[in-house]
Amino acid sequence: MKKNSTLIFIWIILVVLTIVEYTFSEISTYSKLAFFGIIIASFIKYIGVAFQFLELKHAHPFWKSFSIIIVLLFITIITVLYL
Amino acid sequence: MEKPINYKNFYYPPGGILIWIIIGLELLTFMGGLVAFAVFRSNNIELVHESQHHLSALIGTINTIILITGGFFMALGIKKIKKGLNNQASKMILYAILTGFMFLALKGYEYYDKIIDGIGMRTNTFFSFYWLITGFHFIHVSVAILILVALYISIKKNKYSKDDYLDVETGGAFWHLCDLIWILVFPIFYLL
Repeated sequence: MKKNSTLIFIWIILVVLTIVEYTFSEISTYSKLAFFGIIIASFIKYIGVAFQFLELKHAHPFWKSFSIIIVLLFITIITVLYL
Repeated sequence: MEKPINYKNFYYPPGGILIWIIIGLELLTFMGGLVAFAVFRSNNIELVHESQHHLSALIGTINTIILITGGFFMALGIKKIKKGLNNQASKMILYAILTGFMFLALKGYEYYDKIIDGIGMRTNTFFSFYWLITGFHFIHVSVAILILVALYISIKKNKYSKDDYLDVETGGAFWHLCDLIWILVFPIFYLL
């Protein structure tokens, strides 16, 4: 039951973050605030799905590090190219 | 009775090492495509902004929520099968399959809308990237649905149990891969 509650909580967070992303894009298009809001929300969503839904939290540190490093690298490149 | 899987072992991440090699390669492939798009965007900002007006951020948002909900049901399904609750697991996987079809239907509507407006791969480079990357993701979701249907049938036939569920976990990992890819694709094309 506790595990179900955790998953429900994560699902709610993911849905809220998706709505936040949409709101950022609608309210202040192309601003730096909107950009960072959307990028940070996407990063948290990625971590939420990978670590909670995909249960990466139980995996060997290599797989955790790999997942985090590639997404951070991706976000860094996107940030450099977009700003 | 089989020994429980030790996920801390390098060779046994959730779903097994082979699916994780695929997950790694797929993520790097999509990230490469999105970075290539970002490079194009940095030199063609006006064109990209103009083209983005043809996409609906609302439809993208709804589709993201649908896919995340599918991931939630899949994660629940795996929890249930690990407890030996096959009926509940199959029900959760069925819900995940339904969300997959909902995603494809809404994406299909979006594609139809573009085609009606005469927007194809050759319209401009933005739409070449759009059709290629979202289309490739569309194929991934379609394959993931087929995998889940096969798992659903197998669970219904009691081919899996709380001691033998690695295939279900592997199928679930592929499903979550579709979530992870979309989480990166969605903001790049629809929001930023």
